[in-house]
Amino acid sequence: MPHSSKTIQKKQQVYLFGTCLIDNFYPQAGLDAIALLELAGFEVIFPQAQTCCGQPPYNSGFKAPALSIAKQTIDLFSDEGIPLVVPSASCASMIKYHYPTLFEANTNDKQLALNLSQRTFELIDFLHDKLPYSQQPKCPHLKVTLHESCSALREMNVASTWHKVLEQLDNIELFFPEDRHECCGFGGTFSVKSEPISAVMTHDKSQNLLATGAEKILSGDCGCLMNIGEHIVFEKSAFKKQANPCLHLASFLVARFGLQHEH
Amino acid sequence: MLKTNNARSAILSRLRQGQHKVKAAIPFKARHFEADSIKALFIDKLHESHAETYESDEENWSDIITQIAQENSFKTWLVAKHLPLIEQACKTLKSSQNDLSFVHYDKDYEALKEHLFKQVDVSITLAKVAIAETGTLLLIPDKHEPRMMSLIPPVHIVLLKQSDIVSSFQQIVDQPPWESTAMPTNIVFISGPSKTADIQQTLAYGAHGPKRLIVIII
Amino acid sequence: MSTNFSQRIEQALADPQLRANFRGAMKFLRIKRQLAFSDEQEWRALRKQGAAIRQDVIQRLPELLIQLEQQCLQNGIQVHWAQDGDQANEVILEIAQNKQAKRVIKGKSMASEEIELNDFLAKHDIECIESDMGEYIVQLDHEKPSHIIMPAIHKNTAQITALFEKKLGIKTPEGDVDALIGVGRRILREKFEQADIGISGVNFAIADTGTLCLVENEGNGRLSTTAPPVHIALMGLEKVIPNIQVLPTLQRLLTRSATGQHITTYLNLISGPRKKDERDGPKEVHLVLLDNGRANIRQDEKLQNTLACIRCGACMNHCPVYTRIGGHAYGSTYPGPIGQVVTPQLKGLAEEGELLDACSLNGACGEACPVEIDLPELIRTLRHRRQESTSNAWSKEALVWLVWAKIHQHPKLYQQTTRLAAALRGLTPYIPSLWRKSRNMPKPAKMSLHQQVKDRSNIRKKAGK
Repeated sequence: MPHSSKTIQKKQQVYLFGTCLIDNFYPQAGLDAIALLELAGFEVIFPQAQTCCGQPPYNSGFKAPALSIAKQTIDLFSDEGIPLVVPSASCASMIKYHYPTLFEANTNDKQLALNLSQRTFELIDFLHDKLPYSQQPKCPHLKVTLHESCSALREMNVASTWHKVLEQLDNIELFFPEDRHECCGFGGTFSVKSEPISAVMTHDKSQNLLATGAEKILSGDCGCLMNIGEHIVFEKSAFKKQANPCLHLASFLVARFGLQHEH
Repeated sequence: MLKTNNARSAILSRLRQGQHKVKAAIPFKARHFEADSIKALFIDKLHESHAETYESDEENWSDIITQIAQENSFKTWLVAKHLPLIEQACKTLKSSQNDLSFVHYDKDYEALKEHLFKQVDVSITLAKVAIAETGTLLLIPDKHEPRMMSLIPPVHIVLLKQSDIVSSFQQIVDQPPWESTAMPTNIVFISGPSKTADIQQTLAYGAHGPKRLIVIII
Repeated sequence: MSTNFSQRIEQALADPQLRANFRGAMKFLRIKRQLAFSDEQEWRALRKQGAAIRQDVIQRLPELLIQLEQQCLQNGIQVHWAQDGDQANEVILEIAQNKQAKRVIKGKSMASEEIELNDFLAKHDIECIESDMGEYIVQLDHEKPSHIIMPAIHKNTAQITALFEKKLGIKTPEGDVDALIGVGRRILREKFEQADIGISGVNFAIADTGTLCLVENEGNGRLSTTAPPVHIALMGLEKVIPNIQVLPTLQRLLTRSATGQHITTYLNLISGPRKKDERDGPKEVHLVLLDNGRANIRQDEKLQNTLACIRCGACMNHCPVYTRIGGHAYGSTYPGPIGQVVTPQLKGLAEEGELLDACSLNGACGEACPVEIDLPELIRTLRHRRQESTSNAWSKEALVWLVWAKIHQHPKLYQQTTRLAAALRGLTPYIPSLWRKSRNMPKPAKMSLHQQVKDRSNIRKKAGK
């Protein structure tokens, strides 16, 4: 095949860290993240050797297992020129803010961790100013509510960016729930280890989100979405057999920008 | 006490084992308000805390006290002896009503307890200085105006000179002197009548201290 | 979690009145605090200052305490050091016995709750009455405080009205808070008059002037520390501050964080006993410096910021767990996030480490802390310490994480496990788990992200992209 006479623009590369939750339970959100990154003009590199960030054991108090998993991660995403984009504020926070502490005992690893930390971004925050807002296709009117996860709000500080992105979408109405910034009750293993408390928190959050009248509950964290969504579906009588209204922000944006999914 | 000396050395030795980096002192910036807004702010803040205020000038301030006396039928007054302003107030009160009685805090608390708790309706004290930012009076109890004067009676009246109102708490502490040798036994900052919200977060006044605080600004 | 802690939690969660009381109260306190800190910039600046002041204190603790002792002694305040609660109680008892004291009136002191002073004195036939309205109510009902600032926050007006009728034989009109406060005022006034000793806590102690600072709204603190002939102040040793110049910042942070007030009704500065020409005030003032584990905390670089705490209560007001289970469920003097951090350090991780599980690491506490204590990070660190120090290194959970790590360390093994889970997804409805008590168990995806990305890139390669 003859080469084109035009020079081929080299796209900027980004790593995608899919997260183990998305990988195993919500792969569509991961694909949608890739679609958005490509829409914004990036080449997405997805190292197949990626697994987990190590947060679940780390938060539970088990440093050694967390360390061995995290070591895998910092070694894998080693190219210092490539940003790491994560479709989850909580996993992004683990890598960005907790890896340096986790690796403090080893100088080399700590250096790698610090370097990775500096180029780690939550997905929506990374994309917020790179999306073609002026080219949105016509989409049906929709009422949505945004669940600002604790990691987005207090660790990654990206909740306001999520809000900003939604404000730039056409034909949607955005609502916020009562007790807007209260934890949904997921907290990783907290949802199981302190199940009675978690259940009550989850129920309150689910009620508050649905009371806004929104048709979709959006968030950038699959853990929260799984927690809220699976609770709503479980409580058939309390929530009038409502179908799962939860959707990852990436998937929502893909729909509103009219992107096709690759098969 | 031997026991506590052993405790002292044990505790200090444990404390000395930790990290011992010394940090630099932290600079502070006191807040200053415009002179003419100081009094207004001060009064606003007092009203917010349910205190009552009267403004007066150098001549008529004692008339305000007689007015308060008549409106409230306060009979027994707790006052200091030998303080010119207070003596003036008492003189004016005596001339306006002849059925008032005055308790002078010229004995020790133990001898006066009964009177203080059971008979006194109202006390008058001076304030050294006041803070506009929070609506606060600074009192330094002494041999003339002991502590209980501003604490036991159900009503406490304070006389304050307008020129003694400053902007902020920080301003007061940044000015000398605060040397240890000059520290009075007690300094009390009063910002309103006694209150509590311990019962279902509902505000109630006169929990243990005075139920009413009246400030006369001269 | 131990059965006891779990039980207390379930009891609390099942009590609609308790939950409503706490819900209302916490919301009220949060809103008041928000109003007091409405200026974002001021909040940030104050907080930074507050954190710096407290961290400086932690670093210089030994020298500041020595200076405090020197100045207090010069002022005529007697100073005692107590390594633990037992010693503190003994010191206080000795003072009481020297005075043949039978009646003690108390101002609010969480340190005294920590050492269980009231019970100790009662055992020695010394009556110890709480004078703070909330503490008095709680004492009347033989309970412990459920919040460090508002001790009776778990009770509503109706419950308190019923309590007064039952325990005091005094009936007040329904919903009449003023009447209830009036009852408390009358009864406690007598106690102030008759008490032999007044015991108080200390909010801050100024080292360079030998001054004890106490904040309050009611006036009971002032009465307890002025009326009786002897005043004993009990203080956690971390409460020392270098000089009076830092007091306004700390006071502004404390009162606004605790109750949303810019200043409390009274700020009382005590620098000595009654002087010869003075007419009231105690003739003897004692300061008891309490260690009880604090010096040990200071030795730990990662955990020493625990001592920065100024006991404002903002953390528990913002904690979604505390809001739902209330203070008593924690079963410790200090509840909520600060309790979860302090109690295991004072009483041992083995005994109290389970408190650390009642936390979702949501971060609301750290965000509200006026002296920037990173409470979530302290909880996380204590969870690490708990695991490192446990005698049960091969607990069920440890094994779970071991297996988790093995799988997630090895990409091939991880992907095989993922494929297996996907293949067996039909069995998901049968997996036992506490998760399923209130949620459906999500099924693993038919094809993982790894697989779909791989397929996609294969398709693209074939298409020559």
